[in-house]
Amino acid sequence: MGSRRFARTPSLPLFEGGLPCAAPSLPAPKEALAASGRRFLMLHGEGLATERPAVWALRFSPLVGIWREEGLLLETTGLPDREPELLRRILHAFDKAGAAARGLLGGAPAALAALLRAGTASQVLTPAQEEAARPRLPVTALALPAAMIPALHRLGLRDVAALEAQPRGPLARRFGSAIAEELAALRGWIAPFTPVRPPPRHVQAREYLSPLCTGPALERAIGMLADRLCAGLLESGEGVRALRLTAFRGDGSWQELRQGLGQASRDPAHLRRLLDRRVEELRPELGFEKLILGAEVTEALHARQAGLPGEETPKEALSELLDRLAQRLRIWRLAPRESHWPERAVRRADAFGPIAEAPAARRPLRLLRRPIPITASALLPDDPPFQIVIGKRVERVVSAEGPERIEPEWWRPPEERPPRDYYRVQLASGARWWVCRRGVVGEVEAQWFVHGFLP
Amino acid sequence: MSAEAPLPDPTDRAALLAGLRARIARLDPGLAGMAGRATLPLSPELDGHLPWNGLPLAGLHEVLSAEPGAAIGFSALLLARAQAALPGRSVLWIAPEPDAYPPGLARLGLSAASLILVRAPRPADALWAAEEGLRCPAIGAALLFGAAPDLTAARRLQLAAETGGGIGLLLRADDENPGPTAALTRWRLSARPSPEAGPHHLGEPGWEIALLRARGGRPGNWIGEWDAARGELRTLAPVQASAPGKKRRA
Repeated sequence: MGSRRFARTPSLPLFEGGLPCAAPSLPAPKEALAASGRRFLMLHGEGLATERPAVWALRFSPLVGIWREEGLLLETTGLPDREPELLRRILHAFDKAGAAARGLLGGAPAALAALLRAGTASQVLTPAQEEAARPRLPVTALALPAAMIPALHRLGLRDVAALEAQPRGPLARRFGSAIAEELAALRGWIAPFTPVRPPPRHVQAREYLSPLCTGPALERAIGMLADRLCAGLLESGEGVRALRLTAFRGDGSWQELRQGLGQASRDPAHLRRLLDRRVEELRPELGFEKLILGAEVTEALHARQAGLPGEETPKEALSELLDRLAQRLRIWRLAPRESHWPERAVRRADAFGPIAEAPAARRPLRLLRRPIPITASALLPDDPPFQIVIGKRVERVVSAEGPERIEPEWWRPPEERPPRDYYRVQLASGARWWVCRRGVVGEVEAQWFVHGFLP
Repeated sequence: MSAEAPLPDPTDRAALLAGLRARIARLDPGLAGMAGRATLPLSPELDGHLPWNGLPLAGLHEVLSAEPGAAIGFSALLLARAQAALPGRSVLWIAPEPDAYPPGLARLGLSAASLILVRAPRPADALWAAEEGLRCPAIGAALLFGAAPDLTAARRLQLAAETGGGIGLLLRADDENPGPTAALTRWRLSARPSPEAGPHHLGEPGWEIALLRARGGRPGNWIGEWDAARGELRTLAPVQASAPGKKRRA
């Protein structure tokens, strides 16, 4: 089999919406496995290929995916434990959680899945063992369409060694690209999988021998994770925009909290304060055994000398304050909008972003969300009112400016929006109101409202 | 409280006294340095009457609203002055249903670009937001609507304002008995017909500004007029209270 032939097979999909297992450019076949050096654990078992077990498995590795609806794939590259112990620990944990599983730890996920399908027992495979086991895999164990297997058998192709000995061109013409893709996947060249949660850029995890139940203990534990996370962020010159805290209970259930930040930060005190406020949402029940704090979204953040307490720049202090306020309350800014309708002339804008200045106008300082209905008397239908009755109070109007007529905006879909006439009136007491008549002048159903108080 | 500087050599009496005075000033900034505080200018008459020669920053002030338009106008004026005195700082508007209207506020000089609205339907949340905001060095002023905090809460707000350096404004309804306060000043704002008003012309906004109490100062009463074109508050000399029956204990 020549690599030239392989290179000519029509476009192999490298991505399937997930992360490419190997680098997008195909490495030379022989060194593919050794070069990538990534290690995976494939788990097969009853009902494992669903979201619940997958998220639960995040306690072992930050990268977990559901593999082709038959198993779970955990990336174990770089995990601190030694591989045999890791495998034993994970299988034991799954057993304890009531989901018995078989697992193979090796380099090429597709090969691991095929070996499991062929009935291999749980073990850790070195690259050499994997290399040796691959050619003996029967075609029935491969991820090929069921209809293809008898056809391959008729051709006398019973295992991977026989398949690999065939020239790829005729195989591709007869069976499509499925076989070539599967053979490449077996060697670990392509292995797309979609992680069940996006892998965090930075993650800190810790297991606790005695489960954490109380608020102070959780706050302390989360604070320590936040400190370590910030140290990692500082090293890589990043700041976090979104945090995810996953807390695993002893009984196999877990709880996830997400916390966004208005501005990238790696200030441990700020993260601690934000997370402390969320601790009350955690439900430990019998206690949390493991906490994982991940920085899901990060941004480049320039190194800056840490100031003394109270010396932070106003901009940072503001964004930290807004983060805290937004945790509990709704906050926004008001941006101008081009409209003559008073209530449409401003819109709510993001509290963190800058907004444009509104032009000054003779308008009230507060626009009542629910205008107060009043009864107004005028000498002539289109005269300003000379007397206003609000509730049981009768107010005499001393002076009035207006009317300022506001017509419906014709470019909007027609609604029940009669034109309005606004008057600025001053009462005998000196109070100034912004009143409006809603409806066509002289019609009976014209109604009067107070829409705001002028200074 | 901030870290205490070591006292100088005990043989140097003058330095020792100065050091102790500075320490007392740090312990209660409200007591010391009446005249030495940063202030907001209001109008020459008001500034001259107040013991701080202006409305002090880093403090809590109460505005009782006898008439909604005048009270919100005066409060917005204070916010605008705080914005001008502390450039780069933002202003918080905390209310159960914040309905600030930037086109109108802009006429009093309040810029909407640094105005942040906070919706706090529960009074406890509103107090918390105001305290957090006032403590923050990025906030120049926080306007709190509606809540009538008890003495402890008001004292907390006052301490927070001393930490952050901005002003806190409590805008409350004009109760029959407003009760004691921890704020530095308490004002009552009512409307006053503008003298140049005609049947078809309202004239400039007129306010009756009553200073009900000021820590270390005397109460007073003024007639104020907002000159929008020149952006200044014109006040006439202190006047008698409008109606003896309406006089309230401050």
